[in-house]
Order: sequence, then structure tokens, then C-alpha cells
Amino acid sequence: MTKRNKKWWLPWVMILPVILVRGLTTLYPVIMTFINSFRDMDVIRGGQGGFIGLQNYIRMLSDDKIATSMEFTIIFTVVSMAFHIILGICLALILNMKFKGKKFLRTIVLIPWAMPMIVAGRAARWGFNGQYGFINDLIGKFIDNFHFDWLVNVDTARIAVILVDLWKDIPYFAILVLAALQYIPGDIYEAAKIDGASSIKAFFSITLPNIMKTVMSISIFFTMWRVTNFELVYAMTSGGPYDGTSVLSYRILIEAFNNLNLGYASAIAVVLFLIMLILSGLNVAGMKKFSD
Amino acid sequence: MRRKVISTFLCVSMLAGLLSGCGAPSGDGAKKDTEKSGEDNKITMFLDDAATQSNFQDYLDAAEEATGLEIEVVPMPTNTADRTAKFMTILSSGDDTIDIISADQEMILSVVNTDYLEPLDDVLTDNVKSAYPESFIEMSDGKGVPMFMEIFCFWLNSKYVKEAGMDSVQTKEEFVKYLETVSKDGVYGYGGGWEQTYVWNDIGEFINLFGGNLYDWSDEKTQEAVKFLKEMVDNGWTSKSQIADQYTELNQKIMDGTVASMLNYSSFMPTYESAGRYGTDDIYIAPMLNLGEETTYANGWQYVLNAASPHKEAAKKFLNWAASLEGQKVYAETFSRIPARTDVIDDPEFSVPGIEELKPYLEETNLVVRPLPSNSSEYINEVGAQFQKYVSDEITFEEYIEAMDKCMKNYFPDETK
Repeated sequence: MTKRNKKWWLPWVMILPVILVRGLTTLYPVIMTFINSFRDMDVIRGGQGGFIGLQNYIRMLSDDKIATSMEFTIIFTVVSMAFHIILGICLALILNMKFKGKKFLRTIVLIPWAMPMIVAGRAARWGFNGQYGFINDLIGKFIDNFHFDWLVNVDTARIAVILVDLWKDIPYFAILVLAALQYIPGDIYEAAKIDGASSIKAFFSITLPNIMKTVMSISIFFTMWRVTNFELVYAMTSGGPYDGTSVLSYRILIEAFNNLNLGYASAIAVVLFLIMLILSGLNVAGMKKFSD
Repeated sequence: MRRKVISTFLCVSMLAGLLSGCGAPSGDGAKKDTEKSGEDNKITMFLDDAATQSNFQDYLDAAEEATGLEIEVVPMPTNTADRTAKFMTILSSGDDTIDIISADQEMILSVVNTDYLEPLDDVLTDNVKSAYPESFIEMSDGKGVPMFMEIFCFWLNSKYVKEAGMDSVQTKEEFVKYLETVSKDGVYGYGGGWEQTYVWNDIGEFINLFGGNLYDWSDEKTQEAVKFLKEMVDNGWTSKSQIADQYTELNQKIMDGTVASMLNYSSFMPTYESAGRYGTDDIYIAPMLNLGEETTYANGWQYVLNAASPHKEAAKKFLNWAASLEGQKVYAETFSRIPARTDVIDDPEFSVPGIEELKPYLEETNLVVRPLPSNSSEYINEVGAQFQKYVSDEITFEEYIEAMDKCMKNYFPDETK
């Protein structure tokens, strides 16, 4: 055995504190959530924490609210991520151009991202108010007597929630893409230009392939944040109208802390966890494809 | 060698640091005891008033002076969903940093059957209990000290009453005439807080006013009441957009004059007063509507004691004062509210602004407690969601009635038998 191998335990000792902290703060809650999802922990109805098998999961299958939440979670994540990628790349390209005031623009563009989601959500609640909201005022500058009750219909309330999410997080997405853009050597574009490539051709043949790995990797995090985001809905619509904007993570919050049904909330959390695993897997597979 | 020494030292320090947090309390018991005795006089309260009342400090000063306690206060979120979630989190997690919490009926009913609240038998003696309306004591099963009474009142904007040329808006005919006359040019005759977690108040109240029965959705009057609510939307007497409104938005609308009347709690009176907008020449509480019956909800907030509180004795000292004649009087006078103790109201010397308008409610209107099941939050959301679907034409009247019938049987199995 070499001298180096004799001290195989040393790295483990070094990382032991981190493992212990991680175990207590992450693994333990995850394991307990799985266990609780098989228990009757409906405190208000007198649940004593007894084992009830798959009952919480079976209830989810017939719960209309879960179906609605699942539907909006998928819509919210897919639509929001699609626009994050498209508009994020566009914004990054704009920020990468050479023009006066570029640094100033790069700074102010991050302001929405720096704003706490709860603050943004409460402001948006008023912003989209049919009577007092500035959104209607703004549109009213171009269309006479414009009036629309955004948060009254499920479809438009969903659009409003997605718009606020995009307004808030696209700048951050764009800044990360911008970092990747700046790693592309300028001489590649020069060479392409000499070879007669148009700007569009250069974008699809040079820019996109070079930033795609970064886009895919940051998309993993942005997708996870979309799936687990509840603050926006909580502050902006309280899940309404008629539960139409209630995402799964918001439903978990309501079941756990308003309805005090911790077992059922755990079951929904486990399902959300599985969805996140699948999405992460897809994202990682996509990343591998672009790496190859 | 030097690197080895440093790495070993760092390892040991990290482990020591980690383990020190897991060990048993060290033996400085004397110091702890001293701290404890100092803290026996200190309580922390989680209160709605601290967030909503500008003169809250006056009440706090009076309470500290009367009890000799040092009271710390954490303001409660004003949004219903936020405060319910926070209330539930404090109690269910066994949080012992909060001793006393102010809670409304929904919050109390959610936990009254659990062991999260400390019974208050030694505070609510028979003598004290007899001074409160029986329903208030029953609501919290003796685990809460009623703070004040709030009545779901009929509010009018005098500008529109004059415009309609009416002396009174009370009967169904008068109410409909008022709605018809003033609903024009962006003004709605009636406004409600119809957000999903708020609208159940209006639904129940209109059922009361029509003489219906909330538990019985086959009842003609119950159906007539909810049909009337929908007709108000269809006729342009009330705005469909208010299904996104909580009371914050509703209060703003009546102040701005885009809403000419509303049903809302009497506890909002200080809000109008502080804005200089309360009065019979502006926005005021009118005699209750009578659309067949003159019945309305009386609700009350209560102080509850967290079972996990380490300062129960000190907390009870405060609760004893809050439940006393003096404590109730100070509370009511500071915040211009109707005290929960009936003997304070009966005192001819007692006066708060608006009490004259509220006396007819206390004397003539049939005051009832809002029917709520123990899992009130779930129920309120369900009732709100079904109604919003109905007024948005997502479901038909028949489907709505069927859904509500099912909902009532689910949440009130005994009452609907």
C-alpha cells in the first residue's frame, strides 16, 4: 500500500462536517417527507400519523385541485422556460452589441431580478388590477378606453403570472448567456464574414452551438426554480381565480400550513420531487447531446 | 509538516465546532436561572392590531402599565392567507418564541380541537365568561379571550344616496332601486370582496338576508340569494372584476366612489376615520339591509395562548387584564371598536365613534356566528372557488347548487343530516 493510499480516510474526515450538515438539513427532511407521505397526518381531522399506505397518493388521483395545479405547473414551466430561452438569448445578444450606455443598460436590466419575488408579486397584484393597474393604463395610452380584468379569468390570470415571472427572471438568464457569448472569439465571426456567411447564418452556425451548453445547464436551474416557485402565485393571485393559478408547490403550502394535512402535502411533494428528477434527467441528457 | 499540522488543526476545530452544538447544556445553570427569572416578566405577542392600528403603541403602553409586563410584539400579516399560514406554522412547529396570538374565527376553529392552544380555565372563570356572548366562548372552547366584536355591516356612500334621492336603503325594493339608479358611468351600486378566500362572507350574508339556510341548498331562499348575487353581476350592479378583490381593494373602491355600497366589517371603521372619510355625510354604516330577514354575522377576534409558550404565567397575567372590564374598555376605546364584553357596551359612559350606528345592530338585528367547520381554510377555498366559477359562467346554476350541496355535506355532515 502506498503512503498516499494509507491516508484514504483523510478526505472523508475533512468533508465529514459538510456531510453531517447536509445529512441533517437535506437528506433527513427528504426521507421524512417520503415516510410522511404514507401517513395520516391530517391534524385538523385528528390524524395521528398512522400508516395508511398509498391513500394520500390515491386521493391525489381524484382531487380536481391537484389536476388543475398539475396542469398549470406544466403550462407555467414550459411556456415560461420557452420564453426565457428565446427572449433571454435575444436580450443577451442586444447586451453584447457595441453601443453607448451598454454598461448602464447591463446594470439596470438586473433590477427586476434583484427585487424579492413577494414584493414583485404584490406589486403585480395591483399592476394588473382592472381599475387601478398601470398595465391597463399603459395599454390605454395606445387603445382608447381600454379596460381588461386580467386576474378575473383563469386564462388571463395565468398569462399575467407568466408575464411577471418573465419580467423578473429573464434579465438574469440573459446575463448568464451574455457571459457565454463573451467567450466566443471574435475572429470566428470575421472568418465567417469573409466566407460570405450572413448574420443569421453566423448566429445559427457559430453563436448558438457555442452558447447552447451554457443555455442547457442554466436551464436546469431555471426549470427547477419554475417548478418550485410558489411565492409569485402566493403574493399575486393566491392561486385564484378558482384555483386556476395554483401551482403544485403552492398547493403543497396550502395543504401543509393552511389545511394542516402534512401527510397529503408530503405526497404532493414526493410527486413534485419525481417530476423534478425527470426534468433534470431530460436536461442532463440534452446537455450531453450538445457536449458531444 | 507545517501543512499537516494546519490541516489537522482545521479538522479538529471543525469537528469541535460541530460537536459543541450537539452537546448537553453547559453547567452555568445559575446564569440561566437568573435570565429565566428576568424573562418571566416578558412575553411576545403575534398581533394583527400591531400591523393595522396606527395607535397600537398606546394600547401596548396601557397593557404594560397595567400588568407590569414587558411585552414584545410581532406584527401579523394583514392578508388572510399569509396570516393563517404563519399562525399554523407557529403552532404546528411548536415555536416557543411566541406566547400570545390574536386569532379570528377561521384560525381558531382550525386548531381548537388540537393541543396547540392552552386551555384558559383559570382566566375564563364562570364570572368572566358570563360577561361575554356565549357563542364567543363556545367558538374557542374556552381557549381564547375575546378581544372585540365585529359586525358585518351595511355601508353606504352618502353621495349616491343623495343622488338617488332616497331616505333609506333597507328593504329589497329600496336596495334594488338604489342599485339601478346609481350603477352607471363606471360606478357600481354594490361592491364586494369576492376573492376566493373572502367571498364566503358575502355568500353567507346574502343567504342570511334572504332568510335561507346555508346548510340547505335545495332551500328556495338559499337559491334565491345566490341567484341575486349573479343577477347583480349580470345587470352591471356589481363588478365581476371584484373576484380578484380582497377588502383592501374594496375599501379603496368605496373611498374612490366607484362602489356605492358594500357589506363589510365594522372593524374597518377606524380605517375610514383615520382617512377622514367616516361620517353620515361621506361613507357610513347604515341600518342593516332586510331582504326578507335582518340577520348578519357577528365575528370576534380572540387572544389565544400558544401551548408551547415557556411564559404561560406571564401570558395569563396579560390575558386576565385583557379579559377584565378595564382591559376591554381600554382596547375598545383605543381602537374604536365594539368590545366583546356586553357589560362594557351597556355602560352608558362608554362611547366609541360609530357606536350610535352600531347600537341598532346590537338591539334589532339578529346577530349570528359564521358557520365554519374545523378545516375552515379548505372549506372557505372550496366555497370561493365554486362561486367564482358560477359568476364567471364556468358552471351553470344547477351545477353550482349541486356542488355546494356536496360541499356542505362534506364539511358539515351533522348539520346537513
